[in-house]
Amino acid sequence: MPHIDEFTLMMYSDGELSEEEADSVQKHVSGCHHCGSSLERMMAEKRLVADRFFSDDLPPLSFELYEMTSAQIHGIAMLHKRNRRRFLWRMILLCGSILAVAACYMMFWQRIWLEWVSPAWTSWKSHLFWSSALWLNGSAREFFHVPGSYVMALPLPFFLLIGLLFILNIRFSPLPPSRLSKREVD
Amino acid sequence: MEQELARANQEAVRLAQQFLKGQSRAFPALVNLFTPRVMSIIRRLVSGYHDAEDLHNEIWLKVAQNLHKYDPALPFHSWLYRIASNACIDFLRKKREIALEDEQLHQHVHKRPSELVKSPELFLLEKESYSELTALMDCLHETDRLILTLRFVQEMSYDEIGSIVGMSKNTVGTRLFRARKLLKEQLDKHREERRMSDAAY
Repeated sequence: MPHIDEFTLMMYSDGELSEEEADSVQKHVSGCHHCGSSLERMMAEKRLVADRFFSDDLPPLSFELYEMTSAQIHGIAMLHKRNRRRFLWRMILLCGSILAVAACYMMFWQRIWLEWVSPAWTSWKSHLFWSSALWLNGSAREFFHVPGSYVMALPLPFFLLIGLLFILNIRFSPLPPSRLSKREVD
Repeated sequence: MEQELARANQEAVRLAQQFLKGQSRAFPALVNLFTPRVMSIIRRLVSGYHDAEDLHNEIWLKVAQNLHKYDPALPFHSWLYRIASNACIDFLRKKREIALEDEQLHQHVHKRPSELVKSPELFLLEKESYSELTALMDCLHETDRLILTLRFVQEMSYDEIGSIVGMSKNTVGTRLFRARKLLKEQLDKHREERRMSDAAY
């Protein structure tokens, strides 16, 4: 029966073999004097390396961070705080705007939208999607033929979109500037 | 030890979340929680006291800079050890490159091997070494030193070590085997040299 190589013995002594492999190594080692002594030597070497090189006899070292490092870490925390508050502020603005638009719709624009958008939507749905471009080409004049008093409703989606983009990209914030930006200014 | 580590990981996740909310006071608590472990890695890989202190600061700064990338579903210590290991290895590589450049410069100036004359930096580095045994570990490749440290000091499995150093379990085993052999040989050689020098007196 062939002997077990040193690498496998090391993995066995480190407990890195699978249960099946470990069982077969154990059976072999218990019956083979050569492999048994190899394993003992391997364990002794391992203990020697652990004791000599990795025992806890290192001289103590300060656990304190430098003042500069602490200041940088504080600055990073402040940036996180600022970003978080800015995100919350934008979400509040966004929700407020949605509520305002919904309120305006309910109060002022509902009739305009119902009289203009609903017929257009019904007309759109009556044609197949793939032919909609051809249909729009032939019927654009009718599609955009809306009562004169409702002309203001046409650019409304664009205004909404621009308003949304403005809110999402807004730089104004009621938050005080961070210490880092103060330092940069100084 | 595993239970203690699991508890420390849970605490670390809580502190990391507080830090990301902007509470800078959570970070010193995180540092205190893991500094002994991080320090044990640094001290085994870097021999100079001041180098170790600089690296310790650099590692925690990197942790603060990258904490938002940490996935709380994974154990914190593995993520932290990866940062610490990479910082140590980068430092050792830079140091080796500087030493090589010095050596080349010395040879270029003196047109002969520099073994006879030690450069001031080398002299200082040798003086700074706190232990002869640690100096013996310098013969190992930095990745092997890291693998040995993670195995013997942090008692990590081959799989865990592999996830930190980016190697398979078998590669970790092979390198560990080779490094142990080399270290044992160096230790025997060192003992023999000391025996010879003692006999000379």
